[in-house]
Amino acid sequence: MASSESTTTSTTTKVLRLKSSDNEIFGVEEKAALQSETIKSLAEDGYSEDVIPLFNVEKKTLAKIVEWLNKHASGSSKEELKRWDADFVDVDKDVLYDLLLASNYLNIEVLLHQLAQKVADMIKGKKPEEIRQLFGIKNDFTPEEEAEIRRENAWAFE
Amino acid sequence: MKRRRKDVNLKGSRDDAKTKEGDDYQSKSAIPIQNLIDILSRLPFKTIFNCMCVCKKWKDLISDPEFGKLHHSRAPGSLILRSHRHGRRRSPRSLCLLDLEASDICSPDAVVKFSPDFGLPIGNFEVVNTCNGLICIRRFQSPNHISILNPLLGDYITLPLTKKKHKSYLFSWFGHSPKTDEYKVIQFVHQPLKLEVEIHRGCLNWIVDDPSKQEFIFGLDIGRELFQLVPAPPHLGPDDKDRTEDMMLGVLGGCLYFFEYPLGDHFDIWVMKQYGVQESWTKEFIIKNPSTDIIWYWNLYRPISLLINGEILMSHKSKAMVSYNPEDRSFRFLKIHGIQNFEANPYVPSFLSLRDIVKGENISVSNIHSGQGYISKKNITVFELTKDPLIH
Repeated sequence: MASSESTTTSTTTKVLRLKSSDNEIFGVEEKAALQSETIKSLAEDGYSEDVIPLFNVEKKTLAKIVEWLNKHASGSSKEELKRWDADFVDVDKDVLYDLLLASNYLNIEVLLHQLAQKVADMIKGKKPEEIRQLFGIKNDFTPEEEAEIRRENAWAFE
Repeated sequence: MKRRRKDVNLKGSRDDAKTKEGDDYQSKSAIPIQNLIDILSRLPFKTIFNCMCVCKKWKDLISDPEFGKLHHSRAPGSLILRSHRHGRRRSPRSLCLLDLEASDICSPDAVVKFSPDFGLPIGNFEVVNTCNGLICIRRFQSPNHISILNPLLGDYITLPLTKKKHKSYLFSWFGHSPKTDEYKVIQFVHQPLKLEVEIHRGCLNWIVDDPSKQEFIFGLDIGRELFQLVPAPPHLGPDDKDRTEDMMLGVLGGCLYFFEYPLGDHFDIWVMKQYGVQESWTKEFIIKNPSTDIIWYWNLYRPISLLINGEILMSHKSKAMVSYNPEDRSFRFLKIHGIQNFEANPYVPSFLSLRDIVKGENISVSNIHSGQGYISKKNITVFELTKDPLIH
């Protein structure tokens, strides 16, 4: 490693290889990849010379995550990044789910916040039944229990 | 290497383990609990009430004090508005919440109106102050009692104040100490304090109105129940002591501020950037109006909050609200939807239930909606400020 670095300029960047659960390998510059705390600790544990296996992330999701990591290490302006992020999270519910689970596993705090905010924006202003549909949740309240909650918070349901 | 791999795998499945089998989710990939808490804590409180009706699990999650704390830390800066009686006799007084982070604070969407007189079975009241989403109120009919209320949940408790043999003015304030996580009602028994009091970072601060003392600002550490001297802005000297009547304290943008009602056409707002550090006093805002739209009547306007657009929101003693734009020195009169003639207090909504924070015996937490009383074995302390803070 040291010899290859000496032959190139100091701007050479190390590339980490990330492997998805379905065995697709993505090369990502170290600076970008280390935004993930999980990858960071794996790299510190000696995986950096090797392929870093990410057992919980499928390739279609990892491709998106890599895209995000690269963009956020590219030195884009704040405004540019803000626009880009808004587009990035503008995906359908299932993709958003997968990204949320992956960024939770990879421990990428900034991305997690963005995704959580996006899901919150989807829920905002929705009625209980609409929220249940969105998340595929079964209503386990009896009609009496639900009426009781609504009565207690009557002003909130105007 | 193999061991490491196993660790990673375990870490990856950490969250799946938390969503137990047989839970309420039908979805193939349930959102891990901590992500769900994160998501729900970002919602406006009206939507959170809808989320409470979604399923039992969500309701329990929202009722958890940890959720309450996270939500409160993210909740938008708001005001609690209490209308005065006006016009015809007995017009209902109302309690409203104004969301200061709404895109237009004058729009109907920015206001949540609690039901007329809020269903409190304690008669008429005024707001004393607010703390962590709880409102301290004083009942007109019962000056020896003080009530603490969470208007979102409808929980309230009523505490007796010490009856005084001497007829000194009773004045109470409600505060929280982050260090000890205790809530206390502080009862002033002596008169010589100027009643410009602000709670900031677990300290109650006030202007010392006694001309025989050199100090300007005193504080009380609510957690430790200790008095302390708070450094005053650097421009104040002994000659300024006779103007303490015109001096005022408040909190803006998380810092203690100080200003004097002006003799001229402008006033300066000094901000103590680092609490307790004399050098950190900074002349942060100069409020000056080049036109004569506003005359600075004594004690009429007071800065109440910083808006996200950089403007300073000021409440009028009773009638209106104005915002001041420091850049072009312009004033804007704000008409709040559905309420007029009100008093405003800074407020941040919270789902923290009094049931989770009240300590002490024989204090019962009641609920406006259900009328139920919950007896708690814990306690909110009523701390009496009887000692002269200047002697110690």
